[in-house]
Amino acid sequence: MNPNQRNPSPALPGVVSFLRALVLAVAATILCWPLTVTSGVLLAILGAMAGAMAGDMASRTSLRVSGVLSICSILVILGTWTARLMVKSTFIASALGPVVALWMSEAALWFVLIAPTVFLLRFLSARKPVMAIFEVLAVGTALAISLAAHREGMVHRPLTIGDWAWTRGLDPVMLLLVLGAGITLLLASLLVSEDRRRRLPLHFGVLAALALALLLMVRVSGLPQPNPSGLGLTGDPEENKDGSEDPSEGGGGSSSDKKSDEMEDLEFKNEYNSGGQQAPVAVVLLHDDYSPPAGVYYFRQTAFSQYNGRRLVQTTRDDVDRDVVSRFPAKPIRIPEAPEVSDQRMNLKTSMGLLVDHVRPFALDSPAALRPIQNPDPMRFQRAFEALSRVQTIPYEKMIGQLPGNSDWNDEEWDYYTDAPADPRYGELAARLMDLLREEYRDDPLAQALAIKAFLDERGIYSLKSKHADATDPTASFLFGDLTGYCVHFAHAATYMMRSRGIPARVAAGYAIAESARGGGSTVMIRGADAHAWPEIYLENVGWVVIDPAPQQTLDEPSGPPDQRLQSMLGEMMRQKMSDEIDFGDEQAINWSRLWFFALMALGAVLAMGYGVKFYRALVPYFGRPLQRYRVAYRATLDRLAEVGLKRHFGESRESFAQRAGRRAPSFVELTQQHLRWALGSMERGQAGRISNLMVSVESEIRRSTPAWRRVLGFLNPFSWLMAR
Amino acid sequence: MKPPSLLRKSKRFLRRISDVVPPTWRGGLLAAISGAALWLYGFGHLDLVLYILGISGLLMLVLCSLLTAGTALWLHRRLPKHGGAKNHRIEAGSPIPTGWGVPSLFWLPLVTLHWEWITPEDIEVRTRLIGGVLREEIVAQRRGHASQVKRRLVVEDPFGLTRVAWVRVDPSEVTILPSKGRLKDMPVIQSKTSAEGTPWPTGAPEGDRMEIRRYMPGDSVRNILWKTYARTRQLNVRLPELSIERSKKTIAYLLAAPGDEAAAAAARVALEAGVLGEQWIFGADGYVGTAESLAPALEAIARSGSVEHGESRSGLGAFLREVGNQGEVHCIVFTPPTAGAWTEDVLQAARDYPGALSFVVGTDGVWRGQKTPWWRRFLFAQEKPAGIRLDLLGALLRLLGSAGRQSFVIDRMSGRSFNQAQQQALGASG
Repeated sequence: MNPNQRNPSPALPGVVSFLRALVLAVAATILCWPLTVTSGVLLAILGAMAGAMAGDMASRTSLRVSGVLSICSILVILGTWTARLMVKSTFIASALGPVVALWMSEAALWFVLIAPTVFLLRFLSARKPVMAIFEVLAVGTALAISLAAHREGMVHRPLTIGDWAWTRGLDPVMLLLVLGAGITLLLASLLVSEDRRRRLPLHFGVLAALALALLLMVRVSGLPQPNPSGLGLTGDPEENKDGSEDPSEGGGGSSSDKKSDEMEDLEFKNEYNSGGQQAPVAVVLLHDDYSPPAGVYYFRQTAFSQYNGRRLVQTTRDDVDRDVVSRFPAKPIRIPEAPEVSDQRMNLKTSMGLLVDHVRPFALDSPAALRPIQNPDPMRFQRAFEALSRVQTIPYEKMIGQLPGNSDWNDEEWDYYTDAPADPRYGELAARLMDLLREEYRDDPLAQALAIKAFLDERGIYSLKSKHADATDPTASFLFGDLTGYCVHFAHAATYMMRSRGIPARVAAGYAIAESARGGGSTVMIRGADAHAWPEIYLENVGWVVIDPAPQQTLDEPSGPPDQRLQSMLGEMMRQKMSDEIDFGDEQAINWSRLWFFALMALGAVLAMGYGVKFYRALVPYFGRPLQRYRVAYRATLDRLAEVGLKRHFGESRESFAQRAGRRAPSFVELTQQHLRWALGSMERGQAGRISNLMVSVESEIRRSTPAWRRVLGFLNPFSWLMAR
Repeated sequence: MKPPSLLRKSKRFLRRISDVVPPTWRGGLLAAISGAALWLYGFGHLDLVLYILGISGLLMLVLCSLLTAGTALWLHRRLPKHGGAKNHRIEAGSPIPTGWGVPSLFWLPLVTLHWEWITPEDIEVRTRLIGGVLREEIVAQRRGHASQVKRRLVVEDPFGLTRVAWVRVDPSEVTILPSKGRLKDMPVIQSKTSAEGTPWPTGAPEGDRMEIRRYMPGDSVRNILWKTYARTRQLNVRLPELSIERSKKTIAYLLAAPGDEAAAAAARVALEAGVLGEQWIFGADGYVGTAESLAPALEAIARSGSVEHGESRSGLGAFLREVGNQGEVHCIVFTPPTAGAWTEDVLQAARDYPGALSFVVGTDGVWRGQKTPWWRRFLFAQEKPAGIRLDLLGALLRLLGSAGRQSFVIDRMSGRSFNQAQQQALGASG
């Protein structure tokens, strides 16, 4: 051992240690804030600070990890027991009063929970570099948990943040993203091990720039999207785009190749993943008040009408299902075969803001026209469009007596919409159900469809888990088996039975939202869990009518009602920035006025920065420290000379430059000499005043020897100081 | 030399891999946690905070990896292949600037640079920023000798997420002498090199004779001539007649073994202070041949620091056989303070040597072993105190005494020497 070497004594905590303690204290505060009373929070802060600083100090001693672990465990157990005793013991409660006892108990509890934990974390992190990750993890988890309420698209939560932002016109999403960036910097500060503290601003400056770039990137690329629903409604439409097709063509003209690609969408599954998707996937603004006769808003995205021997798939024909739109509108499009406005249907405009990519547009049934609208917020909304729907107004009971199908259909179309499995059991079951109808309704297509629905409502069991996917005919397995399945099973079963009765029917897929979820407002928030498939029948003069079975028994928890605050907030976001007066051709046009505004703002900021530096350098000699004055005064004079075009050349010494500049400002020669003398340490303190006098002299000499226009130009130049050398 | 074990080989291999792969364990963990946060919560539950945190963590790792790897590559190419052969003769414990330096990279964010010496070992490297260049200053912890300097340069980020390291070899002769501590002169050794008469530390090398002289601090009051004092008011002391004469030839040997730094320091001081007399021959474990002048003797001391301590054979026997048969010469053997594999060999050599032989045991402090309370053992890691335990030292002294030779203890920490009587008083020897 080297005799000159001494054991380092535990150093007192420094600035870095204090800052770390502060970060840990912030995390502890946020974590315990909703869980305890004020005294608990205060003692948790105190405990975190004390624990962090003590942990730092202890890490430099020879304390064993096992010893620290034991002590911390004992402290936690003893402290928790003491805290419980304070509220359990009648003696303490009666002596201090119940409120004081509770306060003391909470204070003791949180102190003994936080202080040893933070102590242990800090101790281990300081001892083993890799353990710092766990400290980061702990702080990150604490902070993330405190903000976890905003998960699943509930961006208005936590309400303290959401309300605060919303009432100030700020976007809570942006606030959450900024918080995330801030937490990144905070956590990075826990990892930093740079000895040279002067470099810390440099490192954190780069990290801050990185975080800023990330925020900008998110603004451009958009927010993360929820997992696609089991029905395949969401996803990137680009992936399904056929290159040969003109995207501006809109609905109707989709090729058969493309449709065959999408046939796998509505597959039977043994375990249907609704994704637990409470996250909103779209926002719909109703431009008029509308109550659907079924009490449910059905937003149809696609239809499955072609029987492929096992199930219904999207059609490969061009002459059927022409009311299904397969492309998002790039220009206004009119949907063929849309029902006419009559006493059965009315026009209803809706504005759709898609929060998640969808494979194709959807609209309230039955859509008649679509047109694009300006995306109100590209960061939040993936796409926005407006739909004109001919929504059903006629009550179901008044449709009794309508004929099935369309008289304009040819035999082929009739056959197409009534094509069902060869299994005779569908027809037999349907026929048995018709026997239950009153005589006068037995031949009515709507009554027959409703009878089938009633059977499924009563006997069917809704469950996301079923065992029919592997069967040759999953629908038969469901209908003639345990009658347990999810919407796809019910829709297929109903459609097959309806078709066996000669009623044109198909399965539609999209979103179904109960009218009650609207909460009286004009906004309908669509969530991933609202994805649904339902049967539809075609009635003469009415069009496609939804006959949706609603099983009375369910094995799964129903999804809760939508969050009304979030619904109205998203509606507001959509409504605020949306303009009806847009030119359809200008969706992707550059917003020049905004661009100019930002450019001017940026220019202003740069100029302000330039002038700020310039004036600071000019004025600092008057209020700077005397010891620094020789330097800043000389610099200010160089700036002034540079303003009027006098600058030192590369390779020119200070003295040579002084001689050259001295022709216009003779005092500069002496100022240079004084500066050099001071810089080399051969000048006395009292001569600082002389430097200032010389600076003033140079200023007046420049004024005399330089034309006014040159001086004005120099004064106006915000970056003249960059030329000074 | 034992071949490296499989474990050591694997460690070396892993280290070599981790040196060129930028992410560290910490970085890997951060990537895993960030990825999990991003995937499970950012995308899975649309947690915007964890989304940003996850991406930031991964981005940080990528950026730091690129910067670290890029900087390492740039530095590797920029530094000259060989930094010029420079010979360093340094003393352990003292900071010495080596003149070696690299660009500081002060302006480059998210990158830090430092390095360490692999060969010679136990060198603390300090850096100073001078004119944009990080200049190296080293503090050796122990003596040693190396014909090349191996530096391990490490470029890493300030968050410990990424690291790239490489070894650079410069041909430089480095001789590290042991620190002398508080050792200045060694009267005990000087006394043992005298040929006859009563040894006296202040005696001149050429011999001295005295009967009455002025009192000097340190003289025993029993020797003061009080009658003379009463008469003249002058303090004089009467001393026995002394004949102090140095032996003409001394041989000395340094044993290399664990904890031998103090012994090496004692040998160095003995050589530099000239206490071995006019003619001497010096040998040391790890040094081939013998030295008869100061420079090679100091090199021998330095080289003995690089001896593998696993070897049980000591070169003392061979040394004595080679140089100990040149008449009546006194041999001084500098030994470490604890018995070890070397003891048997050395004792046998001492027994076989016909002339006078003394052991000089070098220590860095002596402490009495005390039982530590259980709670202290449980709570605190038991740091090995500086120096040697008294009972171990006593055991060694008894062992050396069993060869019929005298032993002296010289403590580098305090600069004090302990003769036989003092050792007995301390309880170190029986």
